[in-house]
Amino acid sequence: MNFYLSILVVFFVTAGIYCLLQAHLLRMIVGFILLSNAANLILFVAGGLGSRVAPIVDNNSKVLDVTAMDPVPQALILTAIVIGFGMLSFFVVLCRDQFQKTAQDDLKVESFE
Amino acid sequence: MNYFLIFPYVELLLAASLSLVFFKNIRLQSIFSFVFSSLFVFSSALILFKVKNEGIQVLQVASWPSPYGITLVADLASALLLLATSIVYWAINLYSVSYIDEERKSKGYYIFANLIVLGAVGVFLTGDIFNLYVSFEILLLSSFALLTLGRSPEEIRQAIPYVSMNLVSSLAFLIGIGLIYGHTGNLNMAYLSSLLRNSEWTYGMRTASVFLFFAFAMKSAMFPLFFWLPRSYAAVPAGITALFSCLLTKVGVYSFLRVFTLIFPIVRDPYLQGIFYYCALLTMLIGVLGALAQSSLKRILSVHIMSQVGYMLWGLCLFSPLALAATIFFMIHNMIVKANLLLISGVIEKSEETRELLSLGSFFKQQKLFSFLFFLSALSLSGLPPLSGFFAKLFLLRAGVEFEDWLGVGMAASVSLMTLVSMNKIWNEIFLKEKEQVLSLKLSKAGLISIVVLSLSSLVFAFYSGPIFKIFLKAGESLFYTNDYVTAVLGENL
Repeated sequence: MNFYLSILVVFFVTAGIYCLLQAHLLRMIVGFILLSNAANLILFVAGGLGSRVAPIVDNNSKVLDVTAMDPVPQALILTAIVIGFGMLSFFVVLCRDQFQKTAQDDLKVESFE
Repeated sequence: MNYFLIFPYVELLLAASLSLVFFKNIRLQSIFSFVFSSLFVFSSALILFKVKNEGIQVLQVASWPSPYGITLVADLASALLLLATSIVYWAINLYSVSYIDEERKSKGYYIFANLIVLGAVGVFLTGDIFNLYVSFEILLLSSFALLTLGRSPEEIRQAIPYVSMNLVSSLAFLIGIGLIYGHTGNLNMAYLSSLLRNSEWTYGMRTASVFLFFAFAMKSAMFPLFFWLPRSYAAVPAGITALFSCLLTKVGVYSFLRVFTLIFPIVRDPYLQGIFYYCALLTMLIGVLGALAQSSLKRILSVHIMSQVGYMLWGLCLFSPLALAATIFFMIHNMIVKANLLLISGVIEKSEETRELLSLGSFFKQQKLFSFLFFLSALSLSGLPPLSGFFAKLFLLRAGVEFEDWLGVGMAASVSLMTLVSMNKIWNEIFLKEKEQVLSLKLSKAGLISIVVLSLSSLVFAFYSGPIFKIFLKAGESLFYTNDYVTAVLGENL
């Protein structure tokens, strides 16, 4: 599972950076979505995906079962998703403003004027 | 429990949220901001006093023991930077009463100004690396908002590269954090330091350190990654530029100072240190050359920020207690003086309604006091003897001489000469050049007070630099010998 997810991360990062370098508003937005998902997946893989036991202490024992999933990466990802979403929505609004003011979504074209 | 460490957060958050509640009432917002920023100055002075007398202060939030809970830590370096930030923020708050336009204020200038400082406070006081990331995002998001408050085409055009480059650097930061967590299972900086101190770095940790290096380099506008800075800084009014120059790049440099002394001491990785060293020197040089080429007042000042960042990074790269102390001294000197220069440039811009040097002139003839204030800060920035910039550069150069790093010393000295040339350009064009028309300087009382306060604090820095530098030397030692920090956070048993 870890291996396949790592391949997915590589794919996301490559595609994300490729989209960003196009300097084209819509593609930049897509690039950011891909890149932020890649970062979240890395946090996820870092926590280890081997276990399927929920990290809940049952009534009979006092400490967490050693086979349980690490809950911290999930909390980290949750925070990162919220922050990434906020950033992305700001960026989308910014792109909309830029598009409305120049009627041009290619950043390279505008810089020649 | 050291509850006073939470005071700065509470004050700034209260100021921001009360401004949000009274969104329509700008006057009330400015009063809130003024009151809470004054309280912020007092509480940071309290934190500095406590840290100086009783050593590193630690607050385990909600009493969760470290390294499992959230930890707030103030050591001397962060307390000093906190105090400098609070003083500059206080002055900018006063300044913005009359120099930030009503339109920006009605769109929530005070909310975002408080939040951006809140982000910086979070970076200075946090004890774990994930909260460092979260504080960075608070800082960035409010800086995005401040950058685009006016919604002019120019601002929006400049905001897009700024926002996208910073988003990329945040993602790199996040990936670095993920790798660190995967290899150690913890994100508390003191714990990571004690864990990595005696063990060889694995490839995963090295990769993580490079990711963090990239993220901080972009945030502090290091040599190949500085393109976002000059244009976006020049697009906004001077009050906001002063806030940016005091917070954004300095917070990046502070993260370098914290992470690359505590977790990944830069001397342990000679390859990365080499890259760091040459990038720092090039940042210095290219920043000042860029400033020489500009012809608008604020552009010169904002491109200069990069050159100054180069000095700080060079100081970190030398890595000795003296060099680290000099770096912090330089940072604080630069925060104060640069903010002051930008505020002065804002006054000129507001009175004359232009930024171009060629269309200005005769300020010295008509405005002696005002010109003197500019003169003082400009000379201090370029490092002439009785002023704070001289001592900042002197300490850095001494650290460089100790290492016999002649390339760095030569570069620092010649760059500071070129700084003087570019300041001279401003002085000749704006202040000395004869011009027919009569000037009407719109200098309000609040603006004058803020500029005078910043000039005075820079002078205090200069005249008491001996005793003050002793405190900085201690701060440098506590950054260099990380034992104190680790035991203060984790307790003796770990």
